[in-house]
Formats: sequence, C-alpha cells, structure tokens
Amino acid sequence: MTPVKRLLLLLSVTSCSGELIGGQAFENVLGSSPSNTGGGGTTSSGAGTAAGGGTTRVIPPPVVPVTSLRRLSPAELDRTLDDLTGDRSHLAVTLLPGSAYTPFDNDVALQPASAIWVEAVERLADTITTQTLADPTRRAKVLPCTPTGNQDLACLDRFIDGFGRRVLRRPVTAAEKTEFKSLHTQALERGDFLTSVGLIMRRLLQDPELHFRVEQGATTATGTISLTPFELASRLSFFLQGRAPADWLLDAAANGQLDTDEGLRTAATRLVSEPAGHSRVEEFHAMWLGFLALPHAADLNTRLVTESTALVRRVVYDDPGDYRRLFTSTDTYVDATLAMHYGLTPPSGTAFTWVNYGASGRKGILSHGSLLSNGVKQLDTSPTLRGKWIRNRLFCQEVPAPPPNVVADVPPPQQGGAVCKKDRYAIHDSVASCAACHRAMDPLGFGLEQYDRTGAFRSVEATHPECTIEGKGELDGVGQFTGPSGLADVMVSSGALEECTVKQLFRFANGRREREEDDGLIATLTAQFDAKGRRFDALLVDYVAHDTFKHRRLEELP
Amino acid sequence: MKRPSLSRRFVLRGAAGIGIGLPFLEAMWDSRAFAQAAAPKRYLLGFAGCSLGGYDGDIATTIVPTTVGANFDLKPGLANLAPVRDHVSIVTGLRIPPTTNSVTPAGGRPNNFHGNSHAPQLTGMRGGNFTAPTTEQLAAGFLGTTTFPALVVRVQVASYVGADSPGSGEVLSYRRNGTALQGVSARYSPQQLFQALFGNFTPGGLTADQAAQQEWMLRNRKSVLDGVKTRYERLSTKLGAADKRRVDDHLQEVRELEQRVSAIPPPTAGACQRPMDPGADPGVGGGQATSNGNITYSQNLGYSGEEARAKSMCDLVYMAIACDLTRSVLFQFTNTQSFLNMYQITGQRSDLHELSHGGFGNLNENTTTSLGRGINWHMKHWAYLLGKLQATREGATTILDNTASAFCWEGGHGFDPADGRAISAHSTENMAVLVAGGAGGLQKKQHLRGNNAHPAQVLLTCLRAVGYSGTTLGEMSGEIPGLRM
Repeated sequence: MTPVKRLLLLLSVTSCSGELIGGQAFENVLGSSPSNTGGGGTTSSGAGTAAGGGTTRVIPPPVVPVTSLRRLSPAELDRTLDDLTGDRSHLAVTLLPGSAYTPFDNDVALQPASAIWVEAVERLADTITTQTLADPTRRAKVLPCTPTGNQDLACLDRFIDGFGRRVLRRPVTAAEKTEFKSLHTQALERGDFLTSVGLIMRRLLQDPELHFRVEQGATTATGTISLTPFELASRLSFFLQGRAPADWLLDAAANGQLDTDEGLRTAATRLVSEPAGHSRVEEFHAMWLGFLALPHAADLNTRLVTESTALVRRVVYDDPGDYRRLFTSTDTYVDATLAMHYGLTPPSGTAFTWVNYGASGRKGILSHGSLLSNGVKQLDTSPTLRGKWIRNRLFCQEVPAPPPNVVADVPPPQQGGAVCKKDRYAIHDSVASCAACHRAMDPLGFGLEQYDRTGAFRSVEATHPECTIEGKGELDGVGQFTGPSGLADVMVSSGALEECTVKQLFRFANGRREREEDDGLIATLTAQFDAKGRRFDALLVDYVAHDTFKHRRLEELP
Repeated sequence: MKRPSLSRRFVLRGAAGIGIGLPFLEAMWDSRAFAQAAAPKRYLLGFAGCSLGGYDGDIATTIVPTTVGANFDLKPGLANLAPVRDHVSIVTGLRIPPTTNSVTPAGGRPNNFHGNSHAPQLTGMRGGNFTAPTTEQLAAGFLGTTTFPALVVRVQVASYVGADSPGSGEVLSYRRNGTALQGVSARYSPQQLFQALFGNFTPGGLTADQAAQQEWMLRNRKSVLDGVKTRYERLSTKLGAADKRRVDDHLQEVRELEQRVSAIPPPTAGACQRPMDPGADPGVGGGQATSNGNITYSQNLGYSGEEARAKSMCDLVYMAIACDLTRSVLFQFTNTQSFLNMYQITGQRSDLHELSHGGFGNLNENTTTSLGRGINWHMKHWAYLLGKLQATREGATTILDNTASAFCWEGGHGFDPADGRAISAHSTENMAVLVAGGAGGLQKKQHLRGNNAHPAQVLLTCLRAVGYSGTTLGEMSGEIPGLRM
C-alpha cells in the first residue's frame, strides 16, 4: 500500500501534544481505520480484504446504520411548507432557531428542544395558516372543495384526508379525525367553515410527525427496524429532494410500488432527475464545499456561486459522466467580470459562458474563488487552514487540534528575520511535535498560495512585494504539485476522492459522522460508484436502493 | 424541577395566600390588605462575550477604577454607566484558577481559554462543561412563581461564523430536569419575545361580546396546543430510549408553553403596560468568519442590527419585570468569543473578538483601549435598563432597590496559562463583576478588590441578597466581604 493509502486509513484522533516523539510519521497522526481505500477492489457483498503496504484489512459486510429521530432542518421545512401551502417566504428559516453547519444543516446532535422552538413552530403554524386561507390560490391547494355550508362534513373530510396525509406523510387515523371534528365544533361556536379549516391546519402544522422524521416501522427479529412504505417514501424524499414526499410518492408507497427494487429505483430516478432533485444536489455541494455563504462583496459572491453551481450541474446531470471531472474540468462558467478577476481572456458580451482555462494553471472546482475562500486567517490565506480544509472536506480526514499551549488565533509572526510567509510558516516544520500534524496541512496549502482568498492569482505577497510566492506544494506519498490544476491531478491519482464523496453523502443522509461499523456500507457503495463510471446520479440511486436504506438501528443511550 | 401545572381555577382561587400564582402588582402592594407584604425580589444577570483587556495595554486605564472604596471613578470602558453611577458597585481582581499539572482546582478551568470559563463563572463548578444549574435558573426556584420562571435572552443573533444560522451560539443557561441537566436556549428575537411575554395581554374596556370573542380565541389556541401535546405524549410511548428522550424534551416545552398560554396576563396598571410592538426583527446578517472560526472580517457581515435589538430587549425585559412576568433574568448581550461586527456600533472596522486580538481595525491604539470601546457599548444598554428599573417605584422603594444585579465578562486580563503570555485576552486573571441593586443590603458606589476571589462568589452574594438559602454556589463558598451589609 502506498503511503498515501496508509494515510487515508482514518480516523481516530490523537493529540499533537508536546510529548509527541519527533519525526513521528504523520500517517500515524491522522490515525487509522479499517475502511478500504477508493479505487475498487472490494466485493459488493460480504467481507472483502484490502492488501498493501504490509497491512491486510478485512472489510466488514455492510450493516444497517444507526439513525436517530431527527427534526426537519429549517430549509427542509420551508420547502415542505411551500409544497403544502404555497408559502414562499422562508418562514422556517426566519423564525426557527438554526443550527451550526457541520458542514451540513441537519446534524442530529444540534437539534435541542427549546421554548423558542415550540413558540416559533406555533407562530409559524399561525402565520402560514392565516396567509394561506386569505389567498384564494393558496387556499385551493389545501381545500379541494367549496363547502356548501358550515356543516359540510364531506368537504371537511376531504380537506382532512388530503392535507392531513400530506402533512403527516401517512393516512390520517380515525382517532385523529375525531379530534379534528371536535375542533370543528368548537370553531363553529363563533366562526365558520374556514375557521374550522384554520384550526385544524394550525393543529396539523405543529404535529410532531410533521417536524420529526418518525421511523418506527415494524421491528424485525434482529432488533432492526424495517421502515414502512410511507416511512421509506419520506426517507427517499428528504434525502434526494430535501422536502416531504409528494402525492405521487405517497401513492407509490400506498400501492406497494416501493416494495420492489425496480419500483424503488424508478421512484429514486424520478426524484433525482426532477428540478427539486437538481437543487438538492447543488445544495449538498454548496454545504460540503463551502460556498453556501461567501464573505466577499455581494456581486462577487453571486458570481462565484453561479460559477461553481454551473460546474456541479454540468458534471452531475447536464452532461453526466465521471464525477472526477468536478476537479479536472478544463472549462469554467464565467462572465467577463469574473474572467478578468481570474486573469482569463474575458468572453464577449455580459452573459456567463464556458471559458477554457488554457495554460492558466487552473483546473476544476479547486480553482474556483468559492472553494478558495476557505482557509483564511485575518484577511489572508492560511496555508495551514487551507490544507486542513482540504484534509477535512476532500479527504474526509481529521487533523488533531493544536495543543493547549499553542495560540492559533494569529498567523505565525515575523520573528528571527523571517518576513515572507514561507519563512514564517517554517516554524511549523522546525519543531518536531508541530511538524507531525502540520506536514499534513501546510504543504497542501502552500501549493495554492498563488491564489488569494477570492481565487485571484498573485505572484508576490500583497504586504511584502519582495516576497515571491512559489506556490509549490506536496501531497505526501503522491507527489509535488503547483496550483489547483496540480492539486487536482494528485488528488485524482491518490484514489481518495471517491470514498470521501460517499462518506460525505453518508453524513448528509444520516445527520452524523460515520463510525467504524459504517465502513462496510461505505466501501460497498464506493465500489458501486467506481463500477458505474463514477456517475453521481447513479450513486444516489444505488445509495437508496441498497437494502440498508430500508432499515434503521436505534441509537443507544450512553 | 418539575413545575406544577397551574390551572386557571387554581390561579383564581389561590392557595394559602392569594399572592401565589398571581403577578405582584403595585396596586396590590399598596392595597391596605397587603400593606405588610414585601415587594418581590429580582435577580438580573448580564453577560458580555469578551474579556476585559487585550494583548497589550492595561485595564487600569479602561476598566479598573483608581479609587478603591466609595465613590469610585468610571474609566472610559465603563463611562456609559454615569447615569446610574449611584447604584452600581464593582468588584475587580477576581480570578478563575487554571489547571496545573493536569489538576483543575475547585471552580477552576481547563487552560484552553475559549469556551471554558463560562461554567466555572456561572455555576461555581470546575471544568469546561456545564455540570450544574446556572444562577438565574437557581433563582427561579426560590423567587416565587411567575409565568416565566427564568427569562433567558440574548442580543447577538448568531455566532457569525461562516454560513451561519440565527440562534447559533453557546448555551449559557442550564436548569435541572429531573436528574438531567438541560440547556436552555436564549431568546434572540425581540418580536418573538414580545409575543411570548405580551401576546395575550387583553386591552381593557371590552364589550361582553368582544370579551367572549377573546375567550373563544384563547380556548381555540389552547385546544390546538393540547392536541399537539397529546400527540407528543403518544409518540413518546412508541420510541426507543434515546429517541424518547429527545421527544420528551420537546413534550416538556409544549407543556410549559401551554402553561404560559393559560396564565392570566397581569392587568395593565401603574408601570405595567403592554409595550409597543417592536415590529419585525432587523434582518439577519451573514457570518463573516469561516467555519473554522478563522477571522476574515467583512464590513457588511456579522451584524443584524444589534444596536436596535439591544434597546428592544432592554425594553422588553424591563416590562417583563415591571409586570412581574419574571423575577429572574439572564441577559446575554454578545456570544462567547463574539464575532459581532463593531463597525456600525462603534465605528471600529473589526469584530468584538478581534478588538482584543489586534487583527485589524484598531485605530492605532492598543488592544485594551480598543476593546474598552466595545465594552462601553454594553454599558450603555446596561445603564439604560438599570435606569428604568431605578425609575420605577413600588411602594416606597424602586424595582432596582429590590433587585440584585450582576454583570459578568467572559474573561479578565493578564496571564494566559495556555501559552505563558503575561498580557493576554485569554485570561481569567483580574476579572471583574459589576453589581447593582439594593436587595439584601447590597452596597452601592463601592469599588471592592476581590483579592483573587472567584467571580462565582459575587454571584453567590447576589443570590443570597435575594433570599438564596444556600451558602455555596457549585464548589465556591463565601460572599465577597463588604459587598453586602
């Protein structure tokens, strides 16, 4: 096994304490894990082995992941409310407390109960109900009939059955209908039919089965829960479109169409290829690759997001093919302003168009100002933080935190005659206990140093023009590189991208980091990804078609 | 602690002493029947997410008064307290001890500064994680029953780190829930707080029909909430243990919301009036630092109108106290390690954290002086709130007379045990706590030197001033000598 493959066996975090032995190989620092590397080589079922570098590892068979009871993220709730009531005002994102992005917005550990949450949900229900019933077009979405009078129970039933099924993501029960009828009676004390609809809407829009993804299924003999068809429909829809299942998908669940592999794949393919599926892919990439919210001037931010989104779209569904083209693409989607920002020949006119990178040294999404915005310290790039970002996001590797006696708030200062950045950062290498971790980060970051925090090219340091920037870097065990084009090449040849992509999808799907027990599933999916020409859309369908997707295991209390 | 379910009938009938469950009102206090009744006590804790000084400079120039004892001078960092200088005291020279040879002493902290000073300061327990209830939650347990046992509010909307969400940031309030310790998220939306506190205030002078309409609408609201609560209860019975805990936490919040909705609003009389609707919250500004917490600073990010929000929150908290909707408050202005953009607040092109670290925007002055300007902004709003409490009479006293108030900072200034620097913002040496109010013999206009007492001892003094029967706060004991007579 090459050093980089040993490097990629991750994860258990050790501490770069002052007690580290000097010269310790940083492969050991990044830890080890039994997961296989990318590039194929495992069988798709049962245990497999990976050999190399003197280490033989047994790949465990895929196991059903542990999934916790999760809330909808505010963004998922907003899209769901739009489908339910036509509300486009992003009320959930506005009213509900959000959680930190890690980098996704659905981390189950960051969804605490709070007074502000239940109050915000009540207010949300009240506001949306009032606005929906006041707008005839939106009212028609929820109320499919015109009541003949206040006691038109047939119309009320149609409303409850239709709206209720969509909100609860399953048919309404008889007990619930009884409860709603009593609300109806109370409403009519001083109100009319619409008052009753409003009360029932407020009740449904606060229901825990709207806000939580309940997956109770029918527990199998092994203690693993098998999802009901309706629960599976929800899981498919939330993963692939970030919203509650549409009527056709609920119908498919009711009709048993999700019970067969073929039916499931048909539904998944439809979800992936709809506009909402495309948006979901873009949202996944924006969170994963750090361009959900950029810190520059607004018009630059908009251009950078346009550029990166276009490349994702092209690679995944406009021109589907090898996913690695996200990193190796020789074209980028820019307008004249952005082209000039990058030092490329601007296209004519003002529209965005695909422009070839030529000999600029750029290639793929690593060249975009969006990604290059990450890894910044005090208004300038930090090679350490850029390297750490690449390790975390693109290699799925953790780097231990600095020891407590290190102040990481500020960049390495000028000292002992070191003025230029390369010299200032050399201190990371000169102290053995620092080098153990920094060798995993700094060489990667320095390879991108000729590109500033907005992705523009520079050959000298802005505050010290006498300091030339070489922009030379190294991916340990693979090779040296210069610039994003070089980094893309070494990353692709490392074979690590595929598995990390699958891992990020796993995290996105489950709202948590993977554990050792999840390695078998990740290895299996990675092998399928490689086998199908690395098509991302195929990966999504294979992900949900895998048998484990229909099940969950319960989280255990500590 | 499980709070009793208050039904309307219970509240109307009352139990031993009609005062139970009903808000204390100036009108009642003045009534002859209750001439002997004492005004309720209040506990008000403020918090700033910054230290006292930076990586250079001296807090003797910005914070620490030269005079020790009575009638102390206000340095520039506290200058905005001038309108209430007759009502505040300050204890300086406090200390949270660090860890030595891997041993953390009682009330001490891990040496890595960020995130590790809050639990010792606010609970008196050692360690970086919260392991005990915080003081405003303790106070809620003995100050008497109010609709909001403890009110936890925060001005800064989000942590402003990367792609950010409103409501993000460290939790600083913890209460007991059975055997578990539960974090209490701060209310950061003035509009939502207004609705929660005053949404059910009924205007006077209603006709019989209007009153019936109000009653029916409230009944509708409660029926809906009751149905939601029942759903949570049924769901809870079906879940595995870990999922059940999650749902039970939400169920409890729904139950408590039901109680608040059921509580009779105080009649508007005297100082208690329905405040003006603060309107829609100012827009939320995006995060400026990247998600690794690295500082980028953009002039246009990291700000969500906190200047206006601070004023709104002060007005709402004041009226919540004046209407006796609460007697215990944690009022957090800024997040810990705050990246709040200071440009629109003080004109400094920096964030609050960077003011002490000297990254940028320091106007050619030392970091301690820079930070002092940021601190003084907090003091402006704190003085405003204290001033309103002081201007509100209840009988022969004012609300502030019956209050014990403390204002803490996240850190102090001086030695950093993590990197050995002598002058650092990452320090819990030379901490200070501002004290205000007259409850329980609290002294005013005094600058007391703490002599390395623990800041939790100041909080303990304040708690005891309003009737806390305990003699310890966490692992810390001993009131600050001279702070209370």
